Amino acid sequence: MANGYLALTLHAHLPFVRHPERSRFMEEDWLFEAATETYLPLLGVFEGLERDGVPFRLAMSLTPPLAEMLSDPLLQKRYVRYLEQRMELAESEMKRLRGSREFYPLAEMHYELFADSLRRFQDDYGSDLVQAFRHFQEIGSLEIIACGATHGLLPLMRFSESGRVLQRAQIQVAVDQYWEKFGRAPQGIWLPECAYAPGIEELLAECGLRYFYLEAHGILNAQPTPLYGLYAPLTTRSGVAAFGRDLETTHQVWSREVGYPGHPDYREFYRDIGFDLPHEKIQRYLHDPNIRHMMGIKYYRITGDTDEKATYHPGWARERAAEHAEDFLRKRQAQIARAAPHMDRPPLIVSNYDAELFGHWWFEGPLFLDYLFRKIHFDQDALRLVSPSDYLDMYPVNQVAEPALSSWGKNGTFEVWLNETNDWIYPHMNKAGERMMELAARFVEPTALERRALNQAARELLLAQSSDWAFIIATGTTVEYAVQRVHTHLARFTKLYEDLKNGEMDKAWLREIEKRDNLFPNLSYEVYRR
Amino acid sequence: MSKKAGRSAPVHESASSFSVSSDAWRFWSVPTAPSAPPAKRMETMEPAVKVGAPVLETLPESYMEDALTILTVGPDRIVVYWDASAETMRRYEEAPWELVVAMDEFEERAVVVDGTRHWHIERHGASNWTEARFGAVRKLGEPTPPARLIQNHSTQEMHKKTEPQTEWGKGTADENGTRLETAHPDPPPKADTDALTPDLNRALPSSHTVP
Repeated sequence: MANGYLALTLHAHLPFVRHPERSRFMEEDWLFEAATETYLPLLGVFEGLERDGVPFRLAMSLTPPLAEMLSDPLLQKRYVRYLEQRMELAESEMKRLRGSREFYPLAEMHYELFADSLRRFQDDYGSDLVQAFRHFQEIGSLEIIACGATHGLLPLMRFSESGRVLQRAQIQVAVDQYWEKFGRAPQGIWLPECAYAPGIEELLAECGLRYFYLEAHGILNAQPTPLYGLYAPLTTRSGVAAFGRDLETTHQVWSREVGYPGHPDYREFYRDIGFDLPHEKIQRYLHDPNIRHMMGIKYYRITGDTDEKATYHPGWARERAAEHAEDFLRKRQAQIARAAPHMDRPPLIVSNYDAELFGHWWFEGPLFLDYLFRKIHFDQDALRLVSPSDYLDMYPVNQVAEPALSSWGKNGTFEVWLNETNDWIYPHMNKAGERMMELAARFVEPTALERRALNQAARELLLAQSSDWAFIIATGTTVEYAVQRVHTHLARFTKLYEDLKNGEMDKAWLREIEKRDNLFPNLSYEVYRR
Repeated sequence: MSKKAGRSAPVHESASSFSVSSDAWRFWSVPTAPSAPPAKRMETMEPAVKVGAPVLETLPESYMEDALTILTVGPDRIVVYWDASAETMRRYEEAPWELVVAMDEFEERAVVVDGTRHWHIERHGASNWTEARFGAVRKLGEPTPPARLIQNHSTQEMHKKTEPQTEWGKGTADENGTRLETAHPDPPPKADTDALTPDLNRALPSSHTVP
């Protein structure tokens, strides 16, 4: 038996961004960048481990909107175009930098990254990354977990008792989609933004889920006090287990000051040729000729707290990733050794991260994971990788307690998603929720056309509920786009509501928005019936 | 103590009595339900409609119904928002309006000014509010507004008290969902909780990223 367990969980999520009405769309690049820098590299790590006979185990969410986008033929086609354009740009960089011993290999490295991504995406995975991840679940290396249907922040939907229906719909639609994508029931769920308020666990139980994750204070402030702190899950009164995020591992990776990704040898995220090259060199690749953006080709390393960045050395970065994996492992072993004498079972360390940290933000992150998994397998036997459901199979009996309200956002509350910048969303969104329930109650035997409109109304409501819009507005990044998305989905919902009430369906318009907001094709509006 | 309720979330003072300060009256006026911030038309906006009816581009200013809602942001922070029907607006168009949120021992009281719809209340234990009232006050000093639009108790079911005794249990999942089965571990688990519990005050603020 191991002295302790490590449950590593990656949360892979992007909001649903798909604009067939435009030939190209800047925000769709979020998906393409994440696929190139995170999802494909992670799959590459998993494949390498499988090929080398190195067992590994982790949990990972592929949120419903992300899974929908990764399965979408239009976005798959556009991703190929994105990679071809990046290859072309990298090739032009290779020509420009021919003769430079310092920069030419870096241009070539990026060309290889794009070319290899394209080859694997098309030839190895048939353009479907969801099914590629599914393979690793089926061989027992990966436990894919569910998430809210559109990453809606569940506690803020509970504006009245009827809000329970809206919360439940987010979970049920996600569970139904999980069955379609992965052919089985999900064991666990990543609550969007880890946002929890008492009562949510009852909905998870109704949907057959066994566990969910909480930020540390959700566990540590539970009632009664958890005997094992964060080193064991709690069983809620609904029977669903709650796993708390470990603070030490959070600090080691997330910390801006001392976290691994900030090491001077790692690739600098912000220094990108999209901003460095003369305008005429990149103009062809810009969405708007007047707005520069990242191209995913970066020649510099973090270097230090300075604007003068030094050239990136992949070999140095690899060495650092190996050192950091070793450091991470040793610190987990020490953590287990500290905790174990105070418990009557092996301690569990739950390490949760945004998947996109690995590769997109921290370019060498997938390499770090590769080294970590290999070191855990070859170099020691004190620590064992498990998924939360593995742990529950071994230790089904846990302390019963009621977790505390919590999220993984600023100050551990919901204030990122509801503050003075984005409070205007909620009266409209919650009103739409009430109206959706009204429609579900009213249309018991709808015509085929009405059913289509009802289902589309449900899709528009779900899309408006995405926590990403409120987050973007609060953080001031692509605010106009987020505001527009909230307006668009609520306006489309409202028109559908009025049309259904008035019995005047606009078939052509309905067909158009069905094509645009095409996620959850098998969704049934009846999920909103009380 | 009364305050203006507005989008900019003024610093709220708390009152231990139900009295309304007279100097607040000059700020009062009939509320109008505000609209969402206007969405600037941009390239990525809904394109000119090619088929069917036009898509609405703005959200309604009001749903024209009497409604008061409280959302819990955290243990010490809540957000109140409201709307009013046309009839209510007419009935009380001459009168000042106030919003009252009662908590265990205190009461937060705010005047309502034009164009406001939200009130962010931050005080210890705010999520434990017990009652909220919203409406017009017809007489100076009258403690309770005659119009009680909603009386909404414990929407979030916060702060339920549980017995501090230690219980053990496991979840059992089947086609009907998951449920708790209590269990009695043998031997009874022991733990040095103090040694196992980190100091939350040392915890770093969490990060969250969206590209």
